[in-house]
Amino acid sequence: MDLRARSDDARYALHLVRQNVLVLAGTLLVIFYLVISLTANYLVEPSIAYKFDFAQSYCWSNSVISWGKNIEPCPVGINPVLGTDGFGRDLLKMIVLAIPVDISVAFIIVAASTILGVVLGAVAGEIGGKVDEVILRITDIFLAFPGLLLALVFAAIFGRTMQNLIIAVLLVWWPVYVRLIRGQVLSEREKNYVEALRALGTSRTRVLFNHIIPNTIYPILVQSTLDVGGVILTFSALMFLGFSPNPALPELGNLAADGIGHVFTAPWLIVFPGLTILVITLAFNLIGDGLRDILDPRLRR
Amino acid sequence: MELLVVEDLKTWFPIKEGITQRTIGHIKAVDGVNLRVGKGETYGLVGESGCGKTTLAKSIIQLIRPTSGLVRFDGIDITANQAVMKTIRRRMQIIFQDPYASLDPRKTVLSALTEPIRIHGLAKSNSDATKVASELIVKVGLNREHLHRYPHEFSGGQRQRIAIARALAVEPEFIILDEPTSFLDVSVQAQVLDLLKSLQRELQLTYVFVSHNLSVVQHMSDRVGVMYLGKIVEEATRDTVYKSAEHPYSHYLITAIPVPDPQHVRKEKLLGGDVPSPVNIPSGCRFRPRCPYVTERCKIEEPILYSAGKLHLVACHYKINFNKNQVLKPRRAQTRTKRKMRITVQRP
Amino acid sequence: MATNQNESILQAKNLSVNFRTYRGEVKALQNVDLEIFRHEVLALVGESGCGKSVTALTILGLLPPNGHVTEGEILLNGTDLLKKTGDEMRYVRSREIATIFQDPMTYLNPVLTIAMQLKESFLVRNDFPLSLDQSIEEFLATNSSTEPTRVHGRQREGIAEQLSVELLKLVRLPDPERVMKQYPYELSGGMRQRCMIAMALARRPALLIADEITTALDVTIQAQVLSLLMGLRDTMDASTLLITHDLSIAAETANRIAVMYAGNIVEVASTRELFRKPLHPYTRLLMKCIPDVRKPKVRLESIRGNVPDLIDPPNGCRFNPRCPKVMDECRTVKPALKNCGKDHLVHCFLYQH
Repeated sequence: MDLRARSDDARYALHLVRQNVLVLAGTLLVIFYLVISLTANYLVEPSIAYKFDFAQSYCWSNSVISWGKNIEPCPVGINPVLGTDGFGRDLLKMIVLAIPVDISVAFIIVAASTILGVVLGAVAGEIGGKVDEVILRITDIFLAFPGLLLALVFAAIFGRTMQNLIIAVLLVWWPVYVRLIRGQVLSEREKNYVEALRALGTSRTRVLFNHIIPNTIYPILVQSTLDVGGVILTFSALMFLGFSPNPALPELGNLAADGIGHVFTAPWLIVFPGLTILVITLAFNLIGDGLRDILDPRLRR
Repeated sequence: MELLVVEDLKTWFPIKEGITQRTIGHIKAVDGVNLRVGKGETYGLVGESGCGKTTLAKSIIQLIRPTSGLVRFDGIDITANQAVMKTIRRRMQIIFQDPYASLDPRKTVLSALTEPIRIHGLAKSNSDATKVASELIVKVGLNREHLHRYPHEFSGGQRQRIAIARALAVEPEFIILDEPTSFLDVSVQAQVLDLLKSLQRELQLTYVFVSHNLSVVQHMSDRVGVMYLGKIVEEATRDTVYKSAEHPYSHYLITAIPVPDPQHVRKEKLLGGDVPSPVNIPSGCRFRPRCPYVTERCKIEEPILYSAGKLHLVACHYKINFNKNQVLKPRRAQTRTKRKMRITVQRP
Repeated sequence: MATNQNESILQAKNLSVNFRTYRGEVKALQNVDLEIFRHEVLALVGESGCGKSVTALTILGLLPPNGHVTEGEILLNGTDLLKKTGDEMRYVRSREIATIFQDPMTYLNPVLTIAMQLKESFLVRNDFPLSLDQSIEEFLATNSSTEPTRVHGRQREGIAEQLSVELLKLVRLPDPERVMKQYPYELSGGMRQRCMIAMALARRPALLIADEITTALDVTIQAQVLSLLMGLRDTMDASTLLITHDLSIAAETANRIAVMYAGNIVEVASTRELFRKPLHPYTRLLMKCIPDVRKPKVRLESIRGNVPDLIDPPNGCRFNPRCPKVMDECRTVKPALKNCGKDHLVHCFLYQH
């Protein structure tokens, strides 16, 4: 890796980030959430997720926000910053514990679907013919199902373990990558340098994995970054709809699910986890947009 | 002594239509080309867009599989099957037109040079390969420091040099140059062309030089073939083609070249009409829609390559005096004694 | 027709243009002086990156957002274009300066027929003849001197249609009525380029800018288009700024040639003078690089070194790192303009003393 060339890229990236406030905001937010993910267990004792105290459930004591008349104030001596949930746990602490869960699940799903999609799509694009047809049809079948529905059905059939839920969402996300990279590979193959490599006697596999894929990876990276937000939404939606393996599991959608039955008496249960999901998704979307700006025009330069 | 023999090469691309994708016609990009190139020679291939010269170049080195016909390299038939071509690959290389697209943008120059060396086992270790790469990069006029840079840090001319170094890395005997200087500035073009010439002398390379730029082809070639709509319509030594071309198309092509002399007056009229497309090839002589000397015979009978002198072939039924704008006489097809053309390369 | 009539259509004086990029300021044009006289064809010749297209864009007021003029003025018939507002420049671009670009496929509207686009060019102006007594040549020769005449809408359309067909004949398009009904994609490159020329002529501009118009064309088509331009030179009332990298094309078509290098004009002379006696070392080297079909050479000359980086250009004369005749002062001071007789202008210290 040549440092000089990379520093040129870095300067360009910095320039773009400086130019675009939103990208900057997105970057900072993502860094913030990543830091929280990594330190959550130090900020909040993980075991409190399973310490229930029903005497203080659904109460609010923070005087900064007033939710109206139906709110139950907390017992004396308890001052949760963002109120408590149905198990009597401090909502803020639960959110802090939930963030790493959501983010790591999202990363796993995005990484796995990217790898799976890229390999399949690249092979389809390069080999063409029947292999291409078969892969495309399978992809189309998966794409035809509305994402959430597919995940629901899978979860319903195979049970609600964390693993199954991750697989369920993975099934929804991988097809997009197949089409994405297949298109990239198809157009990249026509380029002169690929022809030159063939003329030099380079094997097809080598050309595909050493040359074509690295050159087409940028749109994939952008899509992956954007997808982190999307996956979090889908996953938490699954939880929200009741597919959580464990009602006490600290997970943003799960926490919000609790609030459905108590919209008027404990609205913070939907508001704050929901806001968190919103901000995380937004942050990743912004950074994905910024990545696209950094990576694409530079290639055209 | 011929390194390359091309016999009746045809490369047709099917045109498919409809849901059933049935073939309704063909784009006859290369439609029966014969040529021979001697060792150490430069054969210039000229023509305008749509004439098929790039397709011909790629068909010769099998980057595109020809539809029919034969290509013999050093006596070996490389159109027979792909396995044979694999063994010959190294010996036939190609330099492309667009220096901005012919190098992998994410690999350093060193990587681009050493990869083919290692693939073909031309060096025993990585450090050996690096040494060879260093020698090559200096040979094409760049420095060792350039090895660690990426293509986008170089100018067009420098990138072409890198592409040349890369082609040389596999120690080829034959290189097809497909418009190698079209995208380069005039001052840079001169450098690259002279580099190619000196490399040819030093390494005894054989070139096929494809270009639409007639001045450049004239500078580089020993013999020249003029292509039109998939066929070679005239072939002769360089000076013969440029000074006394006999096919009307060649004649008009050469007189159309702008001359860097404001006092030069073009005596001839210009060729009218448009460059044709290889989808609908006219009956008889392909050039007849644009030819000012067309006759009835031209519309029916496709001319063969008549002999017009030593090493001079013309695909035209008539001998024409261009100065007087007169058709002189019809050519006679000689009863061909299959004598092998001895191609002697004259170098100043 | 005498070309140097001392009446200039366009005068660019001391024009400097910079581009703001993330790596720094690109000094694309440096103190460019350019003058175009009535009825002449001035060729602006230079290699890629020398600034010739930037010059055209600056004249047209079409610099990209990161480009800005740091000094100088551009006088078109006396008024400074750089002081005009966006709207005023649009007026200038529609009536007074017409441009033809390199790639007609991207500059013609793909969803409109040639007829629609050509008529639009005619209808840009108000001064329409009420009848067609004039030939198309006469019509084109009358320029902005006529006052606007009030012709009604539909009548204008009809006249514009007929004039369009005549104009297409003038640019030597076969079967013009048919071409009128066609879309750009149905035409070949050469035909599209002729349509663009027709559209430019229809507006009867004072200045025609042709930016590398034949670079994308085949040799035989290029010859046709250039010969057309030369033929039209006498019919048009316009002056032409012909931008090209090919000195041979300039030799064939231009009255005067201005040679550019790295954002500077280095030499200006009549075509004959320039070829008879090129003064600037760059011009000389450039001429030696060009292969001449009539006299093939064994070795082509080349210019050692590379085009300079315009973010950090060399001090003094920008050509000094590559100049075979470089002297000490070339490296520190920019050479001033010297008229070496017969309006042969050069920026070089070799001729200063």
